[in-house]
This record gives sequence, C-alpha cells and structure tokens, in this order.
Amino acid sequence: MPIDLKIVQSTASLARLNLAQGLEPEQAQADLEKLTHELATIVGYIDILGEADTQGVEPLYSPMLEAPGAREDVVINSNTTEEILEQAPDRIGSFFAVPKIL
Amino acid sequence: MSELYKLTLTEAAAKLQAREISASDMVGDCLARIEATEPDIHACLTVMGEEARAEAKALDEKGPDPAKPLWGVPVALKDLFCTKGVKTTAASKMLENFTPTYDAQVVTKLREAGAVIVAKTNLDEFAMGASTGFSAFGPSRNPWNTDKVPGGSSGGAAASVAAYQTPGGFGTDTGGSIRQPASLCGCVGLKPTYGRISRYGVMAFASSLDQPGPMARRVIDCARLLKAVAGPDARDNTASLHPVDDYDAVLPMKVKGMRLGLPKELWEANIDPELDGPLKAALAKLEEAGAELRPITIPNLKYSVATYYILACAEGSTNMARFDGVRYGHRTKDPRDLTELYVASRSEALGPEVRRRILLGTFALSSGYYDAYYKKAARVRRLIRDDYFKALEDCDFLLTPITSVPAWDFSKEHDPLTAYQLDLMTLPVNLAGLPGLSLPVGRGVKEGMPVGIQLVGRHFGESALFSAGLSFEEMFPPLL
Amino acid sequence: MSRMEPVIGLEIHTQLNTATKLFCSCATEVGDQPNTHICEVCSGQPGALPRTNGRAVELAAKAGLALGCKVNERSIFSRKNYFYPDLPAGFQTSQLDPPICEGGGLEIVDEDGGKRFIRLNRIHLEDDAGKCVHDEQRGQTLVDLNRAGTPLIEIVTEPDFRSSGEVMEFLKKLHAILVRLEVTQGRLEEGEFRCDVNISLRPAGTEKLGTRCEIKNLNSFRHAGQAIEYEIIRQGGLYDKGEPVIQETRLFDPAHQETRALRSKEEAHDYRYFPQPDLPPVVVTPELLARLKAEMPELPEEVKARLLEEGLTAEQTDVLLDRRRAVEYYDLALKILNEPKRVATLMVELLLPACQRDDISPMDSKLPPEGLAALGKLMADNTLNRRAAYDLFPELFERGGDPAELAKAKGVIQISDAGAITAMAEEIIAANPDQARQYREGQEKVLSFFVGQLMKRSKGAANPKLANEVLVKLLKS
Repeated sequence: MPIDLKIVQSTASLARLNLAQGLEPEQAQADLEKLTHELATIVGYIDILGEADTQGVEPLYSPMLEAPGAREDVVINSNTTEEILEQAPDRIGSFFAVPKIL
Repeated sequence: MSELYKLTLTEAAAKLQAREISASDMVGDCLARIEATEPDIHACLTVMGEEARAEAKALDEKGPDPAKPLWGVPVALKDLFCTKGVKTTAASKMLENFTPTYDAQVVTKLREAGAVIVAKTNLDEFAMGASTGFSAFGPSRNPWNTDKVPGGSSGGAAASVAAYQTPGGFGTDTGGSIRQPASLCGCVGLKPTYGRISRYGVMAFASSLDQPGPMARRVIDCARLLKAVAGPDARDNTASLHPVDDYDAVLPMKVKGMRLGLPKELWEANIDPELDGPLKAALAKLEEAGAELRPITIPNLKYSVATYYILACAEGSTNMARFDGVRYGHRTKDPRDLTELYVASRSEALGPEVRRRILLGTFALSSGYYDAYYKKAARVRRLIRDDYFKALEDCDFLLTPITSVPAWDFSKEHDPLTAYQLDLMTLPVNLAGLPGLSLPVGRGVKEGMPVGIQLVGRHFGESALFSAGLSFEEMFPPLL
Repeated sequence: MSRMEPVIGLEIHTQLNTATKLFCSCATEVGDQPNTHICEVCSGQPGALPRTNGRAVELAAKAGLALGCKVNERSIFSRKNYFYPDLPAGFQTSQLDPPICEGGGLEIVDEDGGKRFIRLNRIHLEDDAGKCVHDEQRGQTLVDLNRAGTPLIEIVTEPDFRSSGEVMEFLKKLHAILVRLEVTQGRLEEGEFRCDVNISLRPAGTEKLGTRCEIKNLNSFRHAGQAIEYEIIRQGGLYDKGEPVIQETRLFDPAHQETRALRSKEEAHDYRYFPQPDLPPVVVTPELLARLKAEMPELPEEVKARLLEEGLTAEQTDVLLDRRRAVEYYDLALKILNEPKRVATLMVELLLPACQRDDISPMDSKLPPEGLAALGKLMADNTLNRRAAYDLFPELFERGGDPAELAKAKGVIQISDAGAITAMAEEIIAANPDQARQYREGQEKVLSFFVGQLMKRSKGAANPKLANEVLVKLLKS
C-alpha cells in the first residue's frame, strides 16, 4: 500500500496531530514530505507481511497464557479527587475545564 | 568506609543488613556519585536527593529488617514508573510538570522490600527509541565513552548503573529497551516473561509487549531485584499468578551439556566486526566448556520487525490518546476551541519519533487497512511465538547477539527504518512473551565498548536463566 | 404512491446494578459532587490499568440467559478510539467481536393483540463516558468523570419493529425483566435505561431498507414513542416531496415534540476498534452459567401468572410487579403466613403506599416481611380486627417491632370472649330501649348503631363478627 501525503494528513487528523504546528509553511511542507517518505519506506518494508502464510492462523493479541480472575465488586475510595484535579491545566471548582464545545 | 557506590547490589544489601554500613551512608554515597558523574552522563531526569535521604534516615532509625531483602539499597527507576508526589515525565514535554497521584506497583514493592529510590532516569520519550536520543530533555551518555550512546530506551538506567551511580535499577522493555542498553553499557539486564512483573503505574507504550525488568552489574543482583517485585497484582489484569521462585537462591548451572539453540537467522545477520570477534570467541569458549551449540532456524523471524512495529505502534497510538491536554500534561496556550486544544497541545508536546509511531499505528488500525496490517501482524505474531516455543522444546535456551552494532557515536543518525531493524535480535522475544537475559561477554575489538549476549529462556523460566547467567558470569568476567 | 412502512431497530443502554465501576473500584453512585468518584483508572491517568468487575460480567450473562441469547464462554473487550473530553483514556472499552451474548429475543403483543417475536442481535459490555456540562456564561465546557467507567450493557435488536406501539411495548417488557433480574436498577430519570432508535421507511411489502436516521438518548418509553411518530411523519414527508432522507444522528426535543439533527462538524468517525491488550478475555465458564441459571428468578410473565393463580386480583398483581422488590417481599411474607390474598392486601393497601411516600423499597422498610406476616396472622386468628390492625400499621412502619407486643401494649387485642361481649351488649341494649324496639319492629339497619356502640365501648377491640352475632341474638330474643 503506497503511503501518500493525503493519507499521512488524514491519519494525522485522526490522531489529533498537526504536522505543521509552529512551522513556517515552507518548512512544514518539507517536513511533511520527509515524513511521508519515511512512513512510505517503513510501510513498504512492512508489506513483507503479505508473504507470510497465515491461512487458518488465529491472531495472537497478547502473549498471556493464563490470567487472574475478575475483580470483586467492592468499593474502594481512592480519595484522590483533589490531587487529580491539581494536575489539570484548567479547572473550575471540581470540574475539569475545556473550551466550550459547540 | 569510602566508595560504597562501587559495591554490587548484593554486597551492599549484605553489609546494610549486617549494620556494617547505614542506609544513610549508602544512599548518601550514591547521591554524591550521582552529583559527580551527572554532568558527563546525564543519566537522571530527577534526582530524589531529599526524599532519598529522608527515607534512608527513617530506615536507619528502625534498623535493618531481614524481611526486607533490599533494606537501604539505593535504586534508580526509568522515568516511566509513576511515583506519587514525584515528577514523572516519560522524557516528554507533554509531562514536563506532571506529578502522579499514585505509585507504580514496582515502586510499592521496592519500598516494601526496603529499597530507596534515588533517581528517575532518562529514556527515549515514552520509551520509543533505542538511544535516549529522543528524550525531550537531552540524551544520556555512555559511561564507557561519552561520545557514544548508552542505548535505549532505558539508556538512563543502564548509564546510571554503569557509572556506579546506583547498584541497580529498573527499566522497561518493549522490544529490547532493557537488554540493548544493558549490553551497550556493559551491565546485566533482564526482560522477564510477559506478566511476571505488574505493569501497573508504568506508562504504557505497547500493552501486550511492555514488561518492566531489572538492570544491575551482576546476574544475582538482577535476581534479587526481580524477586522483590515479581508476582500478581490486583490492579493489573495481565500480571500472572505464576508462582515467584527464589530467584536469588539459584546456583550456577553446569555448562557441560547445556543445550543452546543458535538461531541461524540472527547469527548469520550482518554483524559489525567490532562485535563479531568477541561473540564468536564466546561461542568457542562455551563449546570448549561442553555446551551443545545447536544451530536452529526460526522460520518466521524475517517478519518479526514488521510484525512488531505494526503491533507496538497500533497499541501505542491509542495508549498515547490520553495525552490530550484535558486532565493533565501540556495544554496549548489559549486554545480557540476543543479541536485546537487537542491538536496543538499534542503537536507541541509530543516529539518526532512519538508522532511517527502514532501515525504508523493509527494507519495500521484505520478503516480499510486493519485487516492487511494490524490483524495480519497479529496472525504472524502467533507464528513467531510458536517458532520460539518450538525451538525451546529441544533447547534449554536460545543464545543470540543483542545487537548487530556496538554503541554508536552521537553524531551518527539512523533513518527510522534502519533504527527499527536494529531491534531484530531482541524484539521477537517480546512478541513471544518470553524472558531474555542480556549479559556482557567481552569488549569490542578496536573501540573496546562492551559486547553483550542474550539468553532466551522458556516461559517463566527466569530461575533457569539466572542459573545459566551465573555460569556465564564465571566464564565471562563482569565488565563493571 | 404505496403506503410507507417504518422499519425500526433499537440499541438499549442499561446501567448494570453494581457497586463499582466496570474497570476500577470507584463507586457507581450518582448525584454526588463532580469528580468525587474518580481514581487513576477512570480518570485516565498515565500507567493506570483496567481490571474487570466480575459482577458486571455475571449480570450481562444473566440478561443474556433471560433473553434467550447464546452466552459466549469467551468474548473480548475492544478499544473504540475517539477523542472527547468526557472520555479520559481516549478510547471507550467496549466489545466488538465476539460480544458476551449473541442472538435471542423477546415476544411482544402488538396493537392488534397478535404476538411478535423481536430478535436480538447481541448484548455487549462497555463502560460509560463522563458528563460534560456547558457553562454558557464562561464559554467553557466542564467535565465531570463520576459516571466515567460505569458498567453498561448495550442490547442491540434486529430491525424488527414496525410501529411505535411495538417499541414501547418491547421497552416496557425488557425494562421489567431487567429490573426483576436486578441486572439494572432501571431508574429512567437517572438515564440507567436509555435507548437509541434507528428508523427508516420503505414502501410496504418491499425488502430493501431505506436510509435510516438514529435518534439518540431517549430515556422514557413515551418519548421513544413520540420521537418515532414524529420521525415517521417527517421521513414520510420527505419521500412525498421526493427529497432524500439524510443519514444522520438526531435528538428528540420533548418540549417541541420533534426530532432535530445533531449539528455535526466532525469528520466521519473511524473508531479503529481493536482488541484491548490490557484485558484478558471475558470468561463465562459452564459452571458460572449453570449457577446463574439456577439462580434465575421467575420472569415477570411467570410471576404474574403465579400471583393470579394464588388468587390475587389483576390490580394487586400489577402493583406488586411494578414496585421494586415487592414480589420478593411478598414471597418472604408468604413463607410465614400462607394467605396470599391477605398478604397482598396488606401490602397494596398499607405497605407499598408508605414505601412510595418514603421512596424506599419494601425490603428496606422497618417492617420486614416477617413483621407484616405476623400482623396478618393476628388478623387471621382473630386476635386483631381489621381496624385495629390498620391503626397499628403506621407505628410498625415507622419503628418496626413485634405487632403482637404493640397490640398488647395498646390494648387493642380483639375481644372474642362471648361472655364479655354479651355483657357489654346487654348493657347497651338496656341503655337504648328505643333503638331496640325499632329493631324488633323490623328496622334491621339499626343493628349498625348497636355494633358501633359496642365497638366504642370496647375501644375498637371487640371481634366485629362475634359482636354482630351476639347483638342479633339478644335483640331478637
């Protein structure tokens, strides 16, 4: 699958990244092209996976062979509201605050 | 007593327990060593001088406790482990001023064992990299030669141990991030079996590959550190219930008759002559001592780098989604709206390698590409895992190089794909979830940088790995 | 133009009845100060990991059993990725393939009295998001994560509904079942049972589905019905005018009785679902499933049939079924006093109104089932008459205690001693010769005057039946 500028930009937008952030337009364009080239090279290499015969092979999502059981439904109060809110870039009372969503 | 910092972790623990030295002396000496070496090494992002001295003092007031095997022992932690009330940055501008509200399980367990955390060490931003060159706060330097990289991503911890700042520490290993810097700095490092140590409170890169692990100057020191922190955790659903052995009680394994599988795909790779000589010499010595060297093949190994980078980046891309500037971390100045808050905050604060991996991972999961990349890679992962398990049926361990190149100069920049390919020797072990021990076997031919080798063990075969490691250590004297 | 037929499917989100959130040990209580029930897990702190609540898994499986689904022994959680301030981790943890339950369905009675089977597609587990409050004055949005991580099941139906009536009937029935199973508390006003409606129109008799709209977040049965009615007219109007229906998400505005398109500047969603690597598969072992089956209470339909058979009136049956834990209370009381009608009457006339007034379940009242049964027993064996029993009730409800003791203390034990009643009756008749004469002359209704007098004299404690008999006998003699 060839990676082009358009895919890189739409992927960036999905990931909430602006690849031109803080850059002059010329620099931004050059960086974007370089990044696209790098990603295209990497994805081009990754296409080797197509050669692997995975017919009938179940995906392996985790190397865990056994897992501990589920958690009991018992309340533990962590009482860390204030410590958590202290980290907030912006807060109003005990709410986290962000610009108004339209 | 002078030069306490030179003690190995096991020596220090014994002297502390016997009251030959106080916790304050030991911690104080390491802090002094940190102060003396940091200007050259830059292994640490935060030195917890005040906290460490206070903890040591409190320990001294109560006196040694045989139930606390690491009583008074100073340790360093990669700055990816959350420490309550102490800044934890993941070497990212995103978390430059972030203070966790809770302790990682490793931190809790270390404190229970009596250890004193003295420093948070440098890394590649969010553990994405192999040199600490992607730290937002500048790279660490290799104590053997400060023109060279210490490796990564746990490069700060390796440099700290190699510079005698601390007798041991913890890193994390997603594709080689403990074993490679340990090797480049001449230390011992263990990537345990997936699930051996709780990941709770370790900022995640790739959840199904990440595993914390110890780094020290001796095999037995790593065993001690692992024993202290291994085991299940009510807060980590992937931490195993598998029993924790007395890792520190193992004895050296007989080399004679030891069946060592040598994956052809790795030994026949293009290995730098600087390493090739010492590695081949090590093999010869092992054979001479009676080890059975068995060339084996890992048929699907050629897919491992591709598989790894798809899976690690896919998981990583969504693990990084919480860094959005809403609840903590960097927020752009005066965002106009929510979209700008997200986009600008993330773009300003996440470095180039992190962004590159987020893009790659997002792409691999996105509609239309999921089956061809993410799901395909997950299928190939099973093939690779099965290859490794099968190879270990007929061998006691697999023996492989750690890297194909020695510690490189700062001036040298690898393009991203080349950098990824350099992880070839270590990352399949993470895909398979197996334990891997990295230990030194000699020094480079011309430049004299440390050369390491990797022993890969069976699932939860840490005791056997340490046991073999001890006999390797007898044959190949420690470099530190 | 041929008649247009609506095709409707539902997605119902139900909050599971657990003490803690789906992946952490924070309480699921509502109504507290913002961000009080949060920890590092549900506020998405770096390094925090989820751990599955076993009870949530059991409740989801239980719902599946009751709805005839196949409960999968292994299902997996997946991450559903999108950015929103009420979503702390940047992804919701949900289930894609396979979910915990598949298939199943529920039979309903449609408007014409015919039976229809509504098929379910699936039931899956997922965690809820937090809450955004828009502060107009400050021009900011405020985020409260108390609700973030609350366990939900999403029940997805096939598009089998053809009218708003069917939808409302289904929702009521489903709600009753899930509440009866205690899978959910089902408080509609708290949003614990809310539904999204997918609706499209097509010419009656054709197969191909039209373009659908999704009406989100309906948390009352009536609103669901009204929204569907509106949407049928709106989409029908578009077809009449030859205009296209746009696939979009709409919200129902109850004040104006209309649905409105949600303003959406967002690009098309790409949720990038993939298996959540922090969580092992959700396992429902055959042993667990067997236990859940054994524990399965009667479903509302079954309970209704049984209660009617036990001799309760249809009205009493409906009331008991309608109130949370009322049937449980009734069954416990019946174990002590096997008089269904008496127990039901006491509950419907005394206990349940009082509970409703205090907003508690009967199981939480100070008068336990044993107490109510004891009170009924005192009536059954003529120790208390009805009036005395009803007079004692408020105090028993407020303070609890043993009805027999209280009755004794108040001196209202029924007098069933014929001698004592005869003595009182003779005195009363002697004192009221005029009325006695009227009775003997045939004015039988005067009897009630004498009964009243006798009750008064006995402070309400006389056995009314015996009093009647004695008075009639004396007056006629």
